[in-house]
Amino acid sequence: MNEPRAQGSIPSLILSSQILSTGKLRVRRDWLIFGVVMVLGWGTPLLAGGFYLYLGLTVAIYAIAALGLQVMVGLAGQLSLGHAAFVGLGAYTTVLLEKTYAMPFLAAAGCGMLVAGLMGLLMAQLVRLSGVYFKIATFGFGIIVYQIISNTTWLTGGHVGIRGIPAISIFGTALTTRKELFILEMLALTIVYALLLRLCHGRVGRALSAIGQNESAARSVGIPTNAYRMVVITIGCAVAGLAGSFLPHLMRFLSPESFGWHESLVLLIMITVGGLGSLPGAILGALILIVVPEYMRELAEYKMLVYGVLLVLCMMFLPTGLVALPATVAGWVARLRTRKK
Amino acid sequence: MQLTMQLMSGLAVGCIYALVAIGFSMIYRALGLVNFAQGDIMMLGAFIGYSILVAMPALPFWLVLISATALTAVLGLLIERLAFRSAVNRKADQIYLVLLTLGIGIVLSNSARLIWGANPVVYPIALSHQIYTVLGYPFPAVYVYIAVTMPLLLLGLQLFFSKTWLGISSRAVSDDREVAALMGVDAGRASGVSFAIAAGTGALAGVLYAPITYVSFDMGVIGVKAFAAAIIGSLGSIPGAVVGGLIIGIGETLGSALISSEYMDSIAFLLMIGILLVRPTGLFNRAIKT
Repeated sequence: MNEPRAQGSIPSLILSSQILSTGKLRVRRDWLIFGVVMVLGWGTPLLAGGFYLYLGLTVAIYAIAALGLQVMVGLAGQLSLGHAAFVGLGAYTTVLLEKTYAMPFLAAAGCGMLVAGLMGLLMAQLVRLSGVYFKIATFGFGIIVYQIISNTTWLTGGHVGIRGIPAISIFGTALTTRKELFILEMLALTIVYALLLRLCHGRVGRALSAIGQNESAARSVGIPTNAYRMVVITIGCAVAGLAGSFLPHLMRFLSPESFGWHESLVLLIMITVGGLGSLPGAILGALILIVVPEYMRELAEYKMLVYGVLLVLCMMFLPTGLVALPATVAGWVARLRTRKK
Repeated sequence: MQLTMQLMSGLAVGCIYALVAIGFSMIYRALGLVNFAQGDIMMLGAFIGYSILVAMPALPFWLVLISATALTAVLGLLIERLAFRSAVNRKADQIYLVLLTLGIGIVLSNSARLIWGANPVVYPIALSHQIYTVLGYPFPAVYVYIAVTMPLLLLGLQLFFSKTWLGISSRAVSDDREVAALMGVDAGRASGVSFAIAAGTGALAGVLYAPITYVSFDMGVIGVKAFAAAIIGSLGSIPGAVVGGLIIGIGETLGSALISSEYMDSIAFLLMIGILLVRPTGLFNRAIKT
């Protein structure tokens, strides 16, 4: 019964504070944030090196995947509960093409994106279902993909996984050091972030924000709402596939466990803690959820519990996420002041 | 022979799904909330039953069933009060509510892991292994409990929602919260009651399911299949939840016998997606208001 409102309020909420608005000032501000994020993202791991470089490698991959999920949730207003499956599709496609056909990385990763995107397009066909139904269908989709990956042992090695992942080779040269891998990942992250920002500011973003304000009005002026949603879902899944194509090269190992329900949840928590609907929020969330556990290894047992508590607290007290923390705090202060008067 | 046995176990598991699905549907009707923690509440009920059995091994199974249900219902009341009431009252967006319930599910399952450990446990009673022979077919004893509990629960719910004031008022609240409040119905209490009943049926499912398999902190995942069941039968409809549960239970058992048992979960969700493509709001869509 809450469905019509449900599809509306996420984009309208973003409108109020974050990425979707198209005013020139906001566009400029978003690019400014983009610049700051990129300077920090490129600079810190490269300058600090060592363990930071390793962290940077992991964060960049999850940041890409989270960005893909963020446009699905923020722009299309569709929660996906099976996003990790699309990361997995990208990962397996890339590695299998590299291993069996010795395909160069860029071509293999492109195929990985294509496969993930096509499956996303297939899933997007369900967008006609109302919100709740779509969510559970995405969950089902995630489970189906996971089970196919785990059980087609002749192709994917099943739960045993795949070892001996070849090094990334680009134009004939193999990238062997972590620094080179990091540069490639960050290039991908930069391009994805920039393109998605363009998407949000552009025609599709405007149209979907119009849907956010009033879906029937948007339809009445001829905005093909479902078609736009399908486009955004497909893009989000393809981006997840891109993230996936990097993952095995970092881990040097590939198994279905990295793409289960649990991982989909972690991706969702990333974008929620960072800030639903905000692209820098997705990156911030990935950063926090990757880096913090690394420094609490002795508490690894409590990791998921902490994630859960974090999610609940965020939803109860900070529904717009950490990126909106200043605005939220300002709101609290203002409310306190008026209460005093 | 083989087929009959599979049908039988499909029916039993289907009843479990149906019980969890009833919980989903009730909460959806009362609060317009899709509660992804329902499966974990079921898990909690199963563990509470386990603790009761460990503490009092001589207690008859039906008493374990009742006490675990009651305890979990109280817990459900608490969760509704602490976590959901404020969010529902401020009309938080559906996406936030879903994420909130997901978070609560994670907290519940990981707390259970800390309390009861990461290894699965089996109920330390004869019922876990006891098998009758009926007309030459093996027939696990716990099926008797399932077969008795299901109709009793449905009858009880029917009576509760049609005869008692509390039940009627919660139906009024789920139909129209504002108008019901104008008529003097305490909407908060009605949603609390719905939550408690949903948690109770969840626990019932957990305790009945435990002797069939085992209890572990991550068993809540089957809750999502129950959710598929609730959706097949249209969210919000209790008969729909039962029918959906049986469809999923029997469908996945037969399907996995025909295709491969590794794809059991996939078959359940393919069934759901297939049915949704034909009937986008489920089989009993009277109850859906959009």
